[in-house]
Amino acid sequence: MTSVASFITRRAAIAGALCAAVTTATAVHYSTSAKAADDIKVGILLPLSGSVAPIGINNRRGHELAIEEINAAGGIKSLGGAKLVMVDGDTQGNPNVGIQETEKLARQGVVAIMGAYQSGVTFPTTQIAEKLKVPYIDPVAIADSITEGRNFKYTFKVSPKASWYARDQLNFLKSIGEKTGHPVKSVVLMHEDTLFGQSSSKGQAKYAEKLGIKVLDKIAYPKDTPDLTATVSRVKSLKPDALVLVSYISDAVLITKTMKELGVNIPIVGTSAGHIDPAYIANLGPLANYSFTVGEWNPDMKKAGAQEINERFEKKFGIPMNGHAAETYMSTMVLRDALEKAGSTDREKVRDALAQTEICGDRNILPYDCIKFDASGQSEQGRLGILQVQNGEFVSVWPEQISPKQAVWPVPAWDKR
Amino acid sequence: MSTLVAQAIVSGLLIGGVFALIALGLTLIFGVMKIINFAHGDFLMLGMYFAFFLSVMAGVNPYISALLSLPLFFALGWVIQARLIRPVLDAPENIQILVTVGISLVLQNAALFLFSPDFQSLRLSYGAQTFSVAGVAVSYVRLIACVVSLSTSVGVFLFLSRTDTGKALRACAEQQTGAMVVGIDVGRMYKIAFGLGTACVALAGVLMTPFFYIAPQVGLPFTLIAFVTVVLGGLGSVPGALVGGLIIGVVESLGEILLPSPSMKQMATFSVFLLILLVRPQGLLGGRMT
Repeated sequence: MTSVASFITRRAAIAGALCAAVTTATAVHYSTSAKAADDIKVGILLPLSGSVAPIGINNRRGHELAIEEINAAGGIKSLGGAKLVMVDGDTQGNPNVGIQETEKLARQGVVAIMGAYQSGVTFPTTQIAEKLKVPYIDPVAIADSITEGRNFKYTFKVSPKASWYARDQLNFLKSIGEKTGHPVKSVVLMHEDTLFGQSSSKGQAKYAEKLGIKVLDKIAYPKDTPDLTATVSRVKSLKPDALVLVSYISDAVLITKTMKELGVNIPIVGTSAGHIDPAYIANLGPLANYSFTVGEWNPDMKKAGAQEINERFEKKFGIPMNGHAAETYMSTMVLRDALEKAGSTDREKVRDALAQTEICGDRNILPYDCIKFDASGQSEQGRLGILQVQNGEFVSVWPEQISPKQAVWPVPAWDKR
Repeated sequence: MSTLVAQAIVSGLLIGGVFALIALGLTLIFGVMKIINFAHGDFLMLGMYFAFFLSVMAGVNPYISALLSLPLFFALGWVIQARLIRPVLDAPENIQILVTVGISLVLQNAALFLFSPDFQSLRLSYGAQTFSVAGVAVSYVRLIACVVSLSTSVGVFLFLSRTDTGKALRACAEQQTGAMVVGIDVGRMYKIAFGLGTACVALAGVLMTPFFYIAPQVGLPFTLIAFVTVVLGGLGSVPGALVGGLIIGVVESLGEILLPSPSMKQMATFSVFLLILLVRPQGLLGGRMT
């Protein structure tokens, strides 16, 4: 027994010594390169497992592409060409896990955190980041409450507010109507009856009233229902100038088909979700044409470099860049800009630099001029674009400054298509 | 308003015919062997994918797929009955429920794995064509689905009331021991019942593909509607399923326009359902199979 034990001990001792030697050697290697520039850790807080993981993983791609490009272009120059490295925190789509991961990222020494896709996770994790004084950039989560009435110093929200989706839909209807001489005097608002539909519809009613557009009816319908013919015929009988919808993909498809069946010749204006899903076009084919939707971004927007970024994205990941990925990409560029200005990885200095952010014109690929944060940390110029399906593809049609194509308005009758 | 109500009634009847065929499959299976089939809606989903892939990959018209689906799904039901349901026929009800729920989970997840969670639709040139009768739009494909569903239901009814096999099935439904005593092969009858029930619901799925989307979980709301329809019409009753399906279709459809919000249409359905259970607990035409 003793001989075996001593043998193990001896072997372990040798192994240990070897390990130590190797570690020392690596440490020496790293410390020499560190003299040039330390890697800068960036916390990426996203749902990477669980039911919303596919969306989280796609959001991460925007960060990944941006960081790869920043590093390839020589890193952060004011910090001696320091490279950015991603440190992942997996929220699993769960606020409690998100809070733990935020604390963990802070302990791991990240210079800032970007995330967390879901508003329900972003809201509590920004609170923790505020307490720990870690700069937090929110690229995608849209809830108004993330920046409203909290006076946070460390939260910077690149994404537009949820209520702005409604604002921009109605602004679009007003302006396209006036421009083409086919004004929108009345609308019917129709939404699926979960929280997403209800809150969006409330915002749409508010902005319609503000712009003097009459809301003829507000219709809630159950999601995934087998038939909506009666409801759509009610919409038809109300004779609105447009139908504003909040739908997931299954209902978006069903309602469009039913509108065609009943010959309801009014424009559909969707609220992202089901109407911006590529499956909307794949399922409906030519019937999808002329539908509108509000959207965060589209590759054809007139911003220099937007299409090239989309091409690089598609080449790297095999799928086109969507609005979320464009937002996470731009948010990473916002952080780069702040690091360059701060010339430091000190979180206080980075926070101050973020507050001074001003990324304008073609440097911002999102559909508005400048990314600039107000005192609450909200990107104050944030705006949505309007896309229309034309010849089986989403094209940007509003706002005009960044849209390559004109909206087809009024939409042709179903039997004339 | 009157056109609106007429439109609601017509579209309610059209979808109600399909509900009837789905419920008919469920009531057959329940009537003959007293098994509650929770996988019912998933056979609807399989029928849809069957028509979808035949059309997309081989260009087969969905109405030809409808014919092809009958023997295929009859055989599938037969095999499932023989291999999976039969061993638990004498087991307590909760065990039987676990088996059918298990089949449902397996089918849904297999569909997720094989066909992806993406929504699919058949894009047919005539898929959204309609004709108009006094201002009421009638979709051709929905009308065909309704007419074929109702004719199939009548066919099943005639089969049960006129043929020897049909009579034997009814004998099993009414008195299992008695049926055995007079020499009816009860095991065989069970396989026929499950096969027939599966073929009915799959046919309904095929008939829906020209106007509905397809996804792995598409069957769930239909399973629920089928249960309500079956209980409403009377458990095990074939004409009950037919009447129940049409009633549910119209009530849901009218509920969409007459209630303050279409979200409440299911409330209308379930209110009628409760009312009938209070007044006539055996269901509208309960008690007998035909």
